[in-house]
Amino acid sequence: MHMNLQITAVRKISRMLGIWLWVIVFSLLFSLLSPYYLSFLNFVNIAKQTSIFGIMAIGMTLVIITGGIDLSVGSIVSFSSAVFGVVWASTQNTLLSIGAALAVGLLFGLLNGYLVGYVKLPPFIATFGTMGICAGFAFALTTDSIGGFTSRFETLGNGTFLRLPVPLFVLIAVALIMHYLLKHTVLGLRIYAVGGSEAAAVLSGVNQSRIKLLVYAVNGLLASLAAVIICARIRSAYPGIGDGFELTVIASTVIGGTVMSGGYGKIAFAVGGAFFVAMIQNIFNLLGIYPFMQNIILGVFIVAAVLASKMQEKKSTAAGI
Amino acid sequence: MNDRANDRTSSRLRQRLPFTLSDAGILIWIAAIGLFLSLASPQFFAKANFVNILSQSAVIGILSVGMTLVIISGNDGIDLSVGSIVGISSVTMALVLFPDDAAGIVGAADLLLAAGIALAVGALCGVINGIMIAYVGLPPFIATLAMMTAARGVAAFVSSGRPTYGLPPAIVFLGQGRLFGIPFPVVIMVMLALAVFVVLRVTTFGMRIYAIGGNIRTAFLSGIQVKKIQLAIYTLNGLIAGIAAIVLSGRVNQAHPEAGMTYEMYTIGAVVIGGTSLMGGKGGVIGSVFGAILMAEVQNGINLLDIPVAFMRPILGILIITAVVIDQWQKRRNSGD
Repeated sequence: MHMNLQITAVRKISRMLGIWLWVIVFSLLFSLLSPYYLSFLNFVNIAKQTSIFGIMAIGMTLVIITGGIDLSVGSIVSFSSAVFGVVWASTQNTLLSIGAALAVGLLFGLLNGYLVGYVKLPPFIATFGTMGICAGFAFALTTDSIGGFTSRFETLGNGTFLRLPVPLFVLIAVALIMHYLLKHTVLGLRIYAVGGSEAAAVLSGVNQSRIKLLVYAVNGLLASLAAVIICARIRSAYPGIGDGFELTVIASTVIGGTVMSGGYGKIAFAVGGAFFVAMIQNIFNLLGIYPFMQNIILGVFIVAAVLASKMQEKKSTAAGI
Repeated sequence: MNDRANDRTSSRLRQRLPFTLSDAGILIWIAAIGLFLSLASPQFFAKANFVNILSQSAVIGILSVGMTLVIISGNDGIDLSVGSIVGISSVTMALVLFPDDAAGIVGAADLLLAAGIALAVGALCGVINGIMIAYVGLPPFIATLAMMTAARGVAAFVSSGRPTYGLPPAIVFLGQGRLFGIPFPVVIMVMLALAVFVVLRVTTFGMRIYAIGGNIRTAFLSGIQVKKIQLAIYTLNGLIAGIAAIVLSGRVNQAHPEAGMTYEMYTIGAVVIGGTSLMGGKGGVIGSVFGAILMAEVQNGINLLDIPVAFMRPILGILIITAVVIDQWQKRRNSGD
């Protein structure tokens, strides 16, 4: 009896911590492999990397909760980045450049949402199409890297506040807002409802088209926000910068425990997923292991994460939760 | 009830025709774009250019044959790993051909062995995909995403990230040779497409693929061994990616660990433009091959008209969205609401 209670307690904690439990376990493991791993400076490095993919994983989580997918986020990063660079080069106005980059993300997010929510295209197809459109437009606009931004703007990517990287604060702000939106508003409930059972959502009067429009728009906007931070961090705007990001973001989201079929997902875990991926890349760099080994391990972790969440799902249904 | 009966007769009729209506639709598209390009560029309407388009389409066309099976089998069936399988198969083939890291004379037995191993590696990746999807129960997107990442990693690992230049003449023939004036890759694409077309239309295996894609529960309840069929489909798709790898290596006369990068996207594009529904249960390989030809035709047009290469992907994106919107619109009109 006593044992049973303990096991339930462990299970409860592991469910509460989710991916963060694995972040802790693997951090301890990695610190044995490399003494540098658990240093503050290294944490700052990982946090910088996490900020960019974490912001995007939050948007992707919303989309996947509704049962969708967004393949276009990487290309939106590229196109937003190109627009940022071109507007900056011709106006030297930071705010205007940021506004233009964010507008690109919002616009293509709205297009995705319209195609999925109103035209009723499968999300894979709609975002596959916009992926091509954005990737091409980015290079049609400029093929060069554009740099020479103000140092004040570059703080957004490289600066520190209270010894912590500035982009981490952006990530935390986005995470808090989205967490509040999902867990404490009617809109959040509806987002889960659309993913849980579309038919039930429709019957209970949820306008699912509008919810989808909104979710994809937010996802596009967050991708372009990530693009702006990248521009500041690498001090240049490059039209191919986001190539393949969508897969890392989807991997982060899934490793964070979001279920591909929709209806379930947590903001904190999405950020955890992004942190986990950044952590793995970091330890491989520290140990000087070939980057292509990282790919193999990442593939293994994707499978392991989905298996783990599948098993948990089964246990929950068995326990009647 | 009446509607359903009508639907049944029309589908029976469709089964008797060699092509579905959407195949005819895509032929009209190919002709229309061809007409436009003939007017816009004097170089377009020439036999040499047509042959060029066909051979450009071959690798994606071959891949699209396997992808069509995966997508018809439905239940979110998709394979993101085919591009990486092309990479891993090419470099393992080169590894078997030139184990000492230096190009030299290769005997016929070694040649067959190398090609066989390229196919086997492709099939093995497919088996792993199939087990993960059918038996472990992973969503196909995730399982094949993991394979895409991992296979690309292994490809880079076994080749130390370096390409091998100068393959044996027999492999180069598969990629560059001609048979009665027709490029050999096109011959392979057409033969493969016809073979799989027959499998889909005539054999019980083919019917079961459609049945699983239509409704997996019904298929299961009517005694189809759903998991085995799914495993077979993904294995076959891996094997076909192995074929594409050999053809591509011969065509460019090198085995590169990054060979086939992003090909999964063009392949899925060809299948969708060819009229196979991502929902599963309907579609066919002939349409997919035409889809690949249409994409090569567009690419050719972009080259001839001197349009910046950057516009290739936007045009494809718009084509894909348009194809699906038209398909949905036709379906809605046919079902009468």
